[in-house]
Amino acid sequence: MSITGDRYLISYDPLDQQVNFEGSLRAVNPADLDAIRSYLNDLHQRLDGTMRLNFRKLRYLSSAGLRVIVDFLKTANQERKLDIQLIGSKVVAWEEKTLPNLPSLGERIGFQVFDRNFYESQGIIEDAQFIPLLRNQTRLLWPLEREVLIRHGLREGLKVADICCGCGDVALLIARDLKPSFVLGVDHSLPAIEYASQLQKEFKVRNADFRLGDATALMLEDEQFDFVLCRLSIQIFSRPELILKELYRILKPGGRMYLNGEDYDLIIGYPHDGDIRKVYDAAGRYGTAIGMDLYNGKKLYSILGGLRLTNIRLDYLDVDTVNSDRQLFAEMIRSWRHFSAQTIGQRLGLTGQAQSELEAGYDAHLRTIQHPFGYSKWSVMAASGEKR
Amino acid sequence: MSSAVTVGNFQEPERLKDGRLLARLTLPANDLLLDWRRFSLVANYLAEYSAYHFEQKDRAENLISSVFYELIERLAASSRREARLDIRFTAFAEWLLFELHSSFPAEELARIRELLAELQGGDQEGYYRRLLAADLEAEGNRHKLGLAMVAHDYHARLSGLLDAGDGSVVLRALVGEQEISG
Repeated sequence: MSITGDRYLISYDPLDQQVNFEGSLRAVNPADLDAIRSYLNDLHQRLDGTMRLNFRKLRYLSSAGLRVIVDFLKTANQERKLDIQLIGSKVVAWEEKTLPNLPSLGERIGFQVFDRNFYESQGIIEDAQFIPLLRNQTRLLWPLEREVLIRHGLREGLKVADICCGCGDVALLIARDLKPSFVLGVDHSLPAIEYASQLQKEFKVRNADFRLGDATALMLEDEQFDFVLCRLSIQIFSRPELILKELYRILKPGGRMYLNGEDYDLIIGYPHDGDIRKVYDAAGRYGTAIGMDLYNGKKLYSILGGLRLTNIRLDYLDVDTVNSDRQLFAEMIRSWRHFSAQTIGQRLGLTGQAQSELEAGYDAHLRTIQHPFGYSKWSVMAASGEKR
Repeated sequence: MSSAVTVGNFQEPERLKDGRLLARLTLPANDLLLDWRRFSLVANYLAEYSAYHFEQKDRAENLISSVFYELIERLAASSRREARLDIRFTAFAEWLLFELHSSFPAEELARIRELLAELQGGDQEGYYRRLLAADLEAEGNRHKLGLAMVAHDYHARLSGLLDAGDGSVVLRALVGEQEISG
């Protein structure tokens, strides 16, 4: 059940008793405004409990559109039949400015920002301090991943989206080295997007753009990209299916969706193999405790299959002490050590002893990497599938 | 003797120093009146074009388009058919100036003067809440919400230079750049 206009779509999701607004609700003629009013009022009559009005994908709302919403809220409030929950996003300026005023129209009208605290580790992952860790990982992965991306079909001329692009360095490397027609990077972290835009300026990369966005409600049209990436990100969301649905939606038929993810079961090293296993078992558990899935790599094949993607390809990005620079590898582990023991440790309220044990485990891993004959490997699994 | 009057702090000499004109468009008001979708087209064009000057370009684009849309709609809808709408967007050190020039018939000039005067009151919060609670479909209120929303939600300082002699109108909305970062 939905109502469409020139630039907007209003649909109803019975599972959440939620009215979803999409597009741009502006310059609509009086007949359209009346139709929207009737649509909302009809739904209101049929529901019990709570009715949600979700504006996360509404790019613009004019004062004429606002009049209709306000009228509806006042009517609903007078009838005292339902609680009304307004849902907005922090990435869309008008929503943050306008929607918080509306609960003043009645005590049963509430407002929530969906993407503030929408995954458990958000405060950590979207902090500027996370950027050096991302960059170290890219330094190690890119020499391997460049070839894997080519094998998975990323080639010159394609239109590419990197969703959850972080600080944008992989999107920029793709734009520069693999010559797609265009790369769009989207991330929910403002510091990361600012960083990406700055890098883009410095490197004078013209076939890329970066946007602040919510990966679960992308302001992008259906089926517009040939190749959609989501790297090392599905693993940090507690509800990855919300992102996967959006990745699938923006992918053209015939295009490929590319995911990669870590798997802590695959991190090995010698000497100190026992200490290394122990520390990643612990770090994996702590990751789970803050809503991450650091064993996500082995699930990617099933995830793509579940989306009914075909022609699935799978590769390992094996960063090890033979094919990669030991110092860079060690630098990344130092970032992990700090992130795991300090940042996550504080978040989980780990005891001093537990933090020390984690640090000792990472130190053992560092000794292995820095030992001239030591061997260690960090594997990331990469998988892609084609949309029919 | 000039018949022009200002409503609100039109000059703002402290805030409007050393500006950079980021975009300017001149359009026949009648074009906009013939198809109201052009309000959105123009607002989005100005916003997309100018947003690249700002670090947070997505939020900048959304804010610029949202503010321009309401100003364009308000001015175009009241303009004389033969008027030309001159739209300018200028960035100052900490302020963004949205400026529109047009020409109104006498009754519309009086109406915008009255609205701008209403919006100069000290109790913006109370004014906006009362307006939201009022009958927004009533003739006296229907055209108020757009500018009131810009003034309240974006903390815009609205002002006008209105000339009853020739009907010329300059509408200004001065918005702090910090509004972009939220």
